Amino acid sequence: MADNFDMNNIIRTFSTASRVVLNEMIQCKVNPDCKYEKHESYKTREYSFIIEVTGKFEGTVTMSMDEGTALNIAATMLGTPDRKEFDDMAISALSELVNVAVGRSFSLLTDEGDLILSQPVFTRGCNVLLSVAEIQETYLTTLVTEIGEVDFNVSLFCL
Amino acid sequence: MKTVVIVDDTRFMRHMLREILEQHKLKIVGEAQNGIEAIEMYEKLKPDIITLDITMPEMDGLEALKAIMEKDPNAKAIMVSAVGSKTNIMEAIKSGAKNFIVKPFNEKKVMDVINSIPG
Repeated sequence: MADNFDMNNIIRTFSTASRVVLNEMIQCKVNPDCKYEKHESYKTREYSFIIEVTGKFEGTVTMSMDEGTALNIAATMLGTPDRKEFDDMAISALSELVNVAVGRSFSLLTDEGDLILSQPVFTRGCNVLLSVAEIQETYLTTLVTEIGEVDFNVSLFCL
Repeated sequence: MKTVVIVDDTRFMRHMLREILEQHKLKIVGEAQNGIEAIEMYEKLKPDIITLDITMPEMDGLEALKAIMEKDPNAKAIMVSAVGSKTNIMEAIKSGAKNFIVKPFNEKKVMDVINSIPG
């Protein structure tokens, strides 16, 4: 477990675990590259799901993607290939995806009970600037799948 | 035909479990979104099996499990939990859960667990 707060280790773990979860839940190939970048802030794609993290680490994790990718993922998860609408069931499916991805990632980084994860909040709108007052740096990993790109943006600090 | 009540706060997860179980000729007699609804539904419907998500608002699956087992020690409860909830899983088994399904799941994982429940 991570005794020291090391964002490089956190984002690497996050990228790897999220890739496994996407592969399991969407049943599609995910680019094996584990690339990540550091930014001062993050601008969302069109569909975003934000989880607030409290406890040993504090901040947010955002999963964000374009509309087409969101529809493709929802269609795959729900077994409805002709899906045209991003309805409540689609929001629920992608909320579960980010829940499992974030939960899996943090279970590799912290002891059970160290963190509390909020329910995902869904937002719609491109280029929404996300920043947390106490955090000067944010880390972005983009997972490239057969059905589109999925951003995971991690902004955390250690108490 | 075995009857099942599905308890999960996420609509998607209830939908997925329903799809899998119905494909295997189990009858879903109710769906609940939290532990309080689960207890009420269990008492009313007396299903053969109840699946309980652990993390839920209002009352979590562990509290609901304890309440259900107190009222019906023969209840067949299956917990549903994410990876990394080892403490919760151990507590659930001590409290009488018959087995658990780890998220993310697929049809085989779910049916292996369901078929492990005797009777």
